[in-house]
Amino acid sequence: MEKIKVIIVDDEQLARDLLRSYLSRDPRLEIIAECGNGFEGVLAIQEQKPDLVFLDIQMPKITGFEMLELLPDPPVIVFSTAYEEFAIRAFEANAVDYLLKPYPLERVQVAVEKAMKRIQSGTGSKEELEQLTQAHDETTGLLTRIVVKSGSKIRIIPVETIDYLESEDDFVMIYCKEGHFLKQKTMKFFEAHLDPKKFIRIHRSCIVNTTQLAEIQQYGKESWMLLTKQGAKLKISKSGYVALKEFLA
Amino acid sequence: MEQRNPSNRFPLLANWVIPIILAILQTSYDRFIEILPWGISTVDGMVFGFLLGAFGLAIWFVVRYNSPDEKSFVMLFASHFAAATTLSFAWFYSASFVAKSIQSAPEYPLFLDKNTTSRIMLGFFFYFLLAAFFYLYIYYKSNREKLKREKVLQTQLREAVLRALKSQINPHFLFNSLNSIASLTMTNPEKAHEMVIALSDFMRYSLRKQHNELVTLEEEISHVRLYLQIEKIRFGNKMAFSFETDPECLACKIPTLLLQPLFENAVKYGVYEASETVEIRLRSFRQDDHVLLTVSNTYDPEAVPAKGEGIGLKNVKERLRLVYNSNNLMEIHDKEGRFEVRIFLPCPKTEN
Repeated sequence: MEKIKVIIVDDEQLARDLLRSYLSRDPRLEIIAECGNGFEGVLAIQEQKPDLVFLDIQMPKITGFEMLELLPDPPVIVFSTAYEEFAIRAFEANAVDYLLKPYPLERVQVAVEKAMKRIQSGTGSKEELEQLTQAHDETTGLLTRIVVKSGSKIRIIPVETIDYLESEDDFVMIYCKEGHFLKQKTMKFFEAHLDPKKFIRIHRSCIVNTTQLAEIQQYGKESWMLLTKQGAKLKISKSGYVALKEFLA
Repeated sequence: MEQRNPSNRFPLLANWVIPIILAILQTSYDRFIEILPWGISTVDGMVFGFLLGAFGLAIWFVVRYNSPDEKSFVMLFASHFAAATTLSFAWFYSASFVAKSIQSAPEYPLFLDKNTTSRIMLGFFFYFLLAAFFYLYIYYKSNREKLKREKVLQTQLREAVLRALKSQINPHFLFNSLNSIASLTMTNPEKAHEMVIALSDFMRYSLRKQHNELVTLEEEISHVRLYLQIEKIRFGNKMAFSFETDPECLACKIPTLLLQPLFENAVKYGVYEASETVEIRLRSFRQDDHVLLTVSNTYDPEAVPAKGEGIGLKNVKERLRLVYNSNNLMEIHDKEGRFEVRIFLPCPKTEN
């Protein structure tokens, strides 16, 4: 029988050591890579296509959750973190598992069994991961950065460099200093997680960074356009105009 | 009444001042204006004056049980008017009765009859004067108590805030450290042993200290050293630290657990976010009657922290404000890839 390919992603050497020593006792598993940060993690997962990933959440560069946002077809994930900051129940309810550091061997074995079942049944964990990410989204405060992928490169966009965001089917296009990038999130998510003191939804399909506002022009009786400092022209809806006026008052 | 509540002694004593003055005035008036003999003047003045004081005491109770906070103005006025009428008449007739039974001169009753109206008017006047005085007194007293209570509340609030601002043991730090220990027990038991001891000492210090306690800078520095040692075991080559302390400052007293949040901040935004080695530095030296502490760290300039500015630094600033009552004891400098927090701690030289 072919071995299950495992990748460990954790920024602490000692944490990786411990997990490796646990996992190496299971002959069904083969650890194919260990990564010390999210960038390496994304690359290793894309290139080596593991069946199972043990993923830390707080890491330099990008977090475990941000990593998942960048993977279109993620493998089975077992999270591990030191402290239950967010809706831990959401994790418990799911087939993929969630380990709290420090964890005993038995607990890791339980996680491995759950993961094995998931891998053998062949059903993707995408849906559950989405639930997890959503549970995480609900507990995050305001965003300071957005992680996107352009080609094979991972980019971290600080929110203050964003000019505006526009919805594009199921995605959101982020326009910023460095260009524009697609992100699989909803406008609703961004509206809720961008600082309302800086970002305003001026239209159903557009959120603008008010520090980039150059001019508001009126076209018809109830039609306005917003000009950004970069020269982009954005439509303002009636309710968007009200919000904007309130903001500028 | 007076014994139960000694603070009420003052208005009751004051109550006698006006009757005594009145007694003297009345006696003088009777003697020199009305040209009555000394015998009549004295009895008239003293009896009316003394009984006025006695009735005045009753006014105190009327005032006490007719608080303007609880009754409408009309009700208040009605009850005072009724009390004033009752007391004035009672005063006049009881004083007349007593005075007439002491002083049997035939012209005295005639004199009293002539002065009935003015005496009762005087009773009314005295009643309202004293009532006003009592109300003022009660108002003044309750106001002073309110101020005192507010002061106590403010102190309590301050203490609560200080307690909250005092750095709490960060659960991330604790559980990650325990995880490192779990790992080390298998690979490097000696190092695990070392870490357990460092962690225990660190926790003991954090848990033991009272929130408002002052400790020496030396104690704080060795606590911070423990903290960094533990983090160093976790992060290995990803962090380096150095201490440069002027021995002259070490005995200075500073608020307990003031430094650790600064280092926690340096680790959180420096080490946690970087993939290269981050250097953390503490320097302390004396500047006149202050000690200047600088805690600095290098950081990855490209890293964008996942979470915004920490509340750790804000808390330290707020604590300094509360303890030293000054708003400019902390400065933040961020240039050339180095983040630096400067703290000026008041520490007179005589303390050394």
